[in-house]
Amino acid sequence: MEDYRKYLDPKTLNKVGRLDLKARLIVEGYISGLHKSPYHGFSVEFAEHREYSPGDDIRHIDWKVFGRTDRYYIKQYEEETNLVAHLVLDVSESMNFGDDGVSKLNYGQMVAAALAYLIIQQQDAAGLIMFDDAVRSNLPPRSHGSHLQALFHTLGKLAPKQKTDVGRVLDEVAQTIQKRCLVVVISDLFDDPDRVLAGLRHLVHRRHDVIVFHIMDDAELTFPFERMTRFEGLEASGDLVVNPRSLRDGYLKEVSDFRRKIERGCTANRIDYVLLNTSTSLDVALSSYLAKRAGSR
Amino acid sequence: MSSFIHPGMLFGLALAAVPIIIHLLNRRRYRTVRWAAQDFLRAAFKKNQKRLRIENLLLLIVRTLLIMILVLGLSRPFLRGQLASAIGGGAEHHTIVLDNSYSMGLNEGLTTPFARGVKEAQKIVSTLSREDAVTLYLTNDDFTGARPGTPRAILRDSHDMEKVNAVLGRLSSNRASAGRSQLVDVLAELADLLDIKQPGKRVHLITDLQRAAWESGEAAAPATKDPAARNAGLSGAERTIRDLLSEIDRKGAQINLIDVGPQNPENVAIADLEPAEDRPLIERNFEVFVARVLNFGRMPIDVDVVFKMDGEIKGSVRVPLPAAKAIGAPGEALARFQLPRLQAGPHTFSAELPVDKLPIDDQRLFATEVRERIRVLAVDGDPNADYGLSSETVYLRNAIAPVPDRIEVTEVDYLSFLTRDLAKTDILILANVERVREDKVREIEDFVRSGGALVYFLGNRVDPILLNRDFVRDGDGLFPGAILTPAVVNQRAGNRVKVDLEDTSHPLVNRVIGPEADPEGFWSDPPPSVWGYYRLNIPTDRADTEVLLHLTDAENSPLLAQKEFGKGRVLLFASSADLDWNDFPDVGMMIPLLHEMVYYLTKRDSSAANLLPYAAFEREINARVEAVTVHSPGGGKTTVTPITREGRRATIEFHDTQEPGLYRTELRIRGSGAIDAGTREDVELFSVNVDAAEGDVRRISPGELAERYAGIDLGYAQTFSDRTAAEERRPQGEVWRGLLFAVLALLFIEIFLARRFGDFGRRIREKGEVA
Repeated sequence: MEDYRKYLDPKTLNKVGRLDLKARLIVEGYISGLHKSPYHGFSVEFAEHREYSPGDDIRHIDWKVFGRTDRYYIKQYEEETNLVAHLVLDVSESMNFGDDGVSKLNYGQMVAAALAYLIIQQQDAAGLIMFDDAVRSNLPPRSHGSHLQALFHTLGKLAPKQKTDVGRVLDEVAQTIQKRCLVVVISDLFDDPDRVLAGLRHLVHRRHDVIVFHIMDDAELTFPFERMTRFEGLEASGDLVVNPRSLRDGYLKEVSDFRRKIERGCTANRIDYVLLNTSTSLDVALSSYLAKRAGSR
Repeated sequence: MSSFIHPGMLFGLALAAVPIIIHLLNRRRYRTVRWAAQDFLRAAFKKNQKRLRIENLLLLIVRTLLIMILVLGLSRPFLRGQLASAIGGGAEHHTIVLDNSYSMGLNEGLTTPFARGVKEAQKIVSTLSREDAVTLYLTNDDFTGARPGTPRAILRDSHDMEKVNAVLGRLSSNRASAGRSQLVDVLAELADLLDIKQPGKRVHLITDLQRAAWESGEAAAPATKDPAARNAGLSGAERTIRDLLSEIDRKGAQINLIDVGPQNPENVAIADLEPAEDRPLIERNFEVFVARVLNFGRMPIDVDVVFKMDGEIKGSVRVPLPAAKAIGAPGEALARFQLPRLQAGPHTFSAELPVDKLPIDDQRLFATEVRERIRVLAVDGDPNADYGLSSETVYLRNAIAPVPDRIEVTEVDYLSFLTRDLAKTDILILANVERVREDKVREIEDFVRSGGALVYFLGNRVDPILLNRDFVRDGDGLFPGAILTPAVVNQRAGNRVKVDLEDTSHPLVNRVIGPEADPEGFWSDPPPSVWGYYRLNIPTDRADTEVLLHLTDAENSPLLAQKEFGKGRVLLFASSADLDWNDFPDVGMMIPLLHEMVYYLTKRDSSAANLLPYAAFEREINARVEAVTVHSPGGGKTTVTPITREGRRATIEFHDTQEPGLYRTELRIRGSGAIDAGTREDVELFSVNVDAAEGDVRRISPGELAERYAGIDLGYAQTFSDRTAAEERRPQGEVWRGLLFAVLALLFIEIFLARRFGDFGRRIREKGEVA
């Protein structure tokens, strides 16, 4: 069996051009490492049989049919979407930063694509909202396989230019989504943490399940610069020439304060908060999602 | 005040700009990063701006200081003065001992060791500051007029470097002196005066390393081996140079030898010039003069010795001189020359060599008075006009001056003696004179003290009590000892007392009956008999008394005794001058004895007129001398005031004898009374000759010195350098250790600050965090 796991490394995966392929690689790679197929989100009403394929839960093999035909058939049930997931991806300019070749946006893209793939594979519905200081595109959730292509297409045409306004966008999203669903926020959350939390709270208030994938670049977390550096702010935040060595402590403290505040806010509102370093393996996002999915059932 | 050993390193101070330049360059050279988390960065920057600035400044200061102190340390600064004392250094005390003996004047073309020595001293002084002190010694009596007993240092503890330089400047325009190196004395004084507690003592010995000077002290090495006892109560002359150097060393002074000696030491010198015969020069005699010539060079050489009398060349003698060995006696030869008949009066004789590198010892002078004749005044204490032969002095007269030519004997009785002036007498003989009037005794004392001679023959008429009172005076009188009891030997009984002729050690006796004078033992067979004599009590513990002849009686009684009295001599004969008490005249021994006695007594010590440089010229003068003028060889003229001491005759003393050559003394004498009215001038001569031993220019090698003075910290250099001085200074004024500690401390501070300010070592931590 091909070792799919290597495709969980964002750097390797970033070399793959097609987003649909990326998503498949991530998910297949992830699943091949699991003992149990994730595809068990089936409804109780039987619909038809389907030939067994690897990864299917053997619990669903219809042994009667096997006895008759000597073939493995899976019992399929009436499709019933019980989860609607909204992938809310930040496409602001700040997401375009990537010190290591993989920008936060690339990473976020991959996370969104992989999640979408996984969700639709599980017969759930996935929608996509992309925003910067406002919602830029909104693909409503569907569970058709063909919807996946539309999702990938939308994800593929990004041109980040604008500043972020996470809080406002989340408010907007909360107001837009009527039905209770799972909201997956993929962003660097570079905004006023209070406003971000207010937005998130709004979502929770609307009884949505919320996962926050907080994407940070490795450089943003460790500030590894040594030489005198001019930091050109993205999102028109001005330039700063500093000796990074002397400022590192202060900076890291700011970042850590910010993160802690967000995290604490999330925990208080029962929001799953997952910090994703752009160099961390992509399966973390999937695992978090699946854990949440399992919990929300 | 401070100086540097490697001042060139100070250019490295420019390196102190490096941290600043790096800082500025870093500010200008940056890479650009497009950055998303700008808000955090900005917030951190705003919060830390002030602290960052201070930290940056602090680090910059520390780094700049670090480099500056490092460069300073490498340039090896040393401090002087109060600053130095504050760090445990302190002002230094430099003692410069400059050899100015005449060997330092060895001509080496344009320069002499002395000139180089003065330059070295100036170099030393140029490195000193006002806090330092300088004591300057000359190894020879200096020309500023130091007298024996006064401190030799011409400068003592002087902080005034201008004054020191002025003195050295004056020295540099002078030549070396004419004296000998008194290294031992100077070192002895130094060893005594150096204060063990005073820090920073330096003794610079600037010398030509003349072997003779360095060995003169060793020769006088005392027998005692205990250094403590040796150093306790011994004078400089009794201590060896080794003792003195080690004492100076022990007192904490750093001794530096600065060798300014000549490259090629060569010298020929005349060591002595004297008449061959040991007796006074008398008119019309032929005199042979002997010049002793020394070669201190390594090559044998033939030299012409030119003999002069009163400046006029009388002839020359060529003598072959063997080469001198490196150690030991120099090459030596004697040049003999007979001078023609002499005229009475003051004369100078000289021997001269062709001028060599050291001209000062190429000439030797001998100044003396040639006498017309020797005048003897014989006082007869038992005159018998009727019978000439029974006179006490008849034998004397006949024995001394058979022909009244060169010795003139005047016989007088006691009464006419009382009226006579002793000024025109050389020898006074008192024969069997009962007693002498007290004032006349004083006159005789003066007469003998100023160089006259007295011979006293005892006899049956003398009054021992009065003589003991006037002539012995408890040892202060003229007689060598007291007269005890008379002894009369019964000659018929056959137990004659004879003169003991065994002991001929005294020169006078030796000249009469010694093996050379009397090879056939003519006078000793039969020895003269003595049957009447006084026993004498001659003290044996006095240096100025001596028994010349003994008798063979039971007590081995003295027959002829001598006392040195002032410049003159007294002979006391225990028996009579005629045949009354002995048979001296019969045996005939009287003639040679008296004859030699006369020469012995009148032989004026020529050393009084032939001095070493710096020795005082002293002379007793007549009360009628009004003024004395001394003409020096250089043309100088000095009027000397006579010094009158109570009860003594006036004397003149002249000290400025530093210049070798001929000195002429003019004595203006007032006439005495109507017959001898007006004034007249007497001229006397005296010479000053250098000590030829100083002309021994052979050197002691530095290696030998090091070996000889092993264990003593003795620096050796051919030239003084500030650098070596500074290195010697190290324990005192050098601060590089302190600077090194400062650098280390700053280094630690820098690392600490850099670590603390997030400038260093962060990466390691961060890497760990990422991993």
